[in-house]
Amino acid sequence: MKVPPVFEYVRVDSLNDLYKNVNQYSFPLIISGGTVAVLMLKNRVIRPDAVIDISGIEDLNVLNLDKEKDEVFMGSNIKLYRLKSLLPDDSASELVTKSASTVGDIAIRSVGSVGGNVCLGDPGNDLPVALTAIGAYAVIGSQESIRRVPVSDFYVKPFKNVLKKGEILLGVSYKRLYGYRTSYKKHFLNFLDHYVGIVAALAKVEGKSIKDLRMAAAGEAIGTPVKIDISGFSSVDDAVSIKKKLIDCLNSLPMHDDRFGTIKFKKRILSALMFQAIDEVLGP
Amino acid sequence: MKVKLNINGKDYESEIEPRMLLVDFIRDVAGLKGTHVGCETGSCGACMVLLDGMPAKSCLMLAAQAQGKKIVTIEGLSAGGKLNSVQRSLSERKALQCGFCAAGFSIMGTWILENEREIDYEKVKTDLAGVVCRCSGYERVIDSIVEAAKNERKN
Repeated sequence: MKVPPVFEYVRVDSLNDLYKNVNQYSFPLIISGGTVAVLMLKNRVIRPDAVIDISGIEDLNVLNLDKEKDEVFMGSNIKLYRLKSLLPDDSASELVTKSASTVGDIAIRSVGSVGGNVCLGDPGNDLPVALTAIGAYAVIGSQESIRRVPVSDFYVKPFKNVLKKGEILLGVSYKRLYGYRTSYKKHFLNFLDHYVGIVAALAKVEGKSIKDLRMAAAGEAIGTPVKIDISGFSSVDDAVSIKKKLIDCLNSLPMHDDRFGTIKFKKRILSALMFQAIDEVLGP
Repeated sequence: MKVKLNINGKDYESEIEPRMLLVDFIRDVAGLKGTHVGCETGSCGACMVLLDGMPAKSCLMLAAQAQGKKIVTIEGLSAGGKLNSVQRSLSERKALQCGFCAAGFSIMGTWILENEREIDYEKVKTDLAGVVCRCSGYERVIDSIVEAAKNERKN
């Protein structure tokens, strides 16, 4: 039987209470659903002096539509399972929904939250890849201020994000996109229970003309999510050139031989996922 | 810390350590042994319960987190000792062998019947992704839930 280490449990119902408590402890662990956090506690990977449960903060359990800026804000406390019914009808939201619906199983998605999936920084997390592809921002709050950081810059390295002491992730915001085709692909390594590669892509195509093309990738092969630069192509007939550029991008990413596979294996997996995604978003 | 959890409609109040897991509270404090401790990593679903009507893995939650929520365990599915339609169907088709996964399949099956609009083989198979059975091979389990859904619709 796995038992977590000793800690204090604090339940907060308001942001003010949260900020006070976050500053009071030397190593507070903030949880909303806590599915991964509790597992890490059980395995004693982390030993916080306090677990702060923010699931009761209603201000973080909201999905706001800013009609003026045409932006969506997803609060950290929103359960992944609810995203499908909550998110509005646009291409960016479609990609977010696609990624969220592949997290674990229903019992994990019904407890796991947006904040947890974004904050953890596990290379296999789903939302960060989709959010990086659509150009989303992490909205970070502290007692003094609120700042926005592109999700693509939110991670320092796997399991390490840019949050400073006293800061918490309030949620994620992104601009709505219209008329895009979206694709979300990932490759699971069953015996290691990890995702080798994850790719999110979206493209706006009119006739044969590419108006916009975006891609992001993550997974154990490359660690934290990265934007893949495939701009500069104007026609769907350039698909072969785009794939060549994807190979160049892959070759420039730092990869290592490790327990998840050799560099060659990782590149094969990622290139296959990228090609499938490109065919899907540019195809007929 | 003192917690009060509502399990199967009954309140259980106890002084616990904050690090106590929900599954341990259910088994050791409430004495409801139908919820099992399996893989302890959230993969097998043997510890599945309904939390405010949604399936949740109680080995991945602290007992303290479940305060103020309505918890239903496998025991809570059979009101007055009468099996619900999913449990009855699983039993009639002899879908379970050792029964260690019974909580997972019964809870998920019940949730599927109450929440999914169109229930067919593929839908049930996808929804059961978080429950592992090492002896039955899943076919009879899936068939049982599909049949229970058909019977519910008829009635």
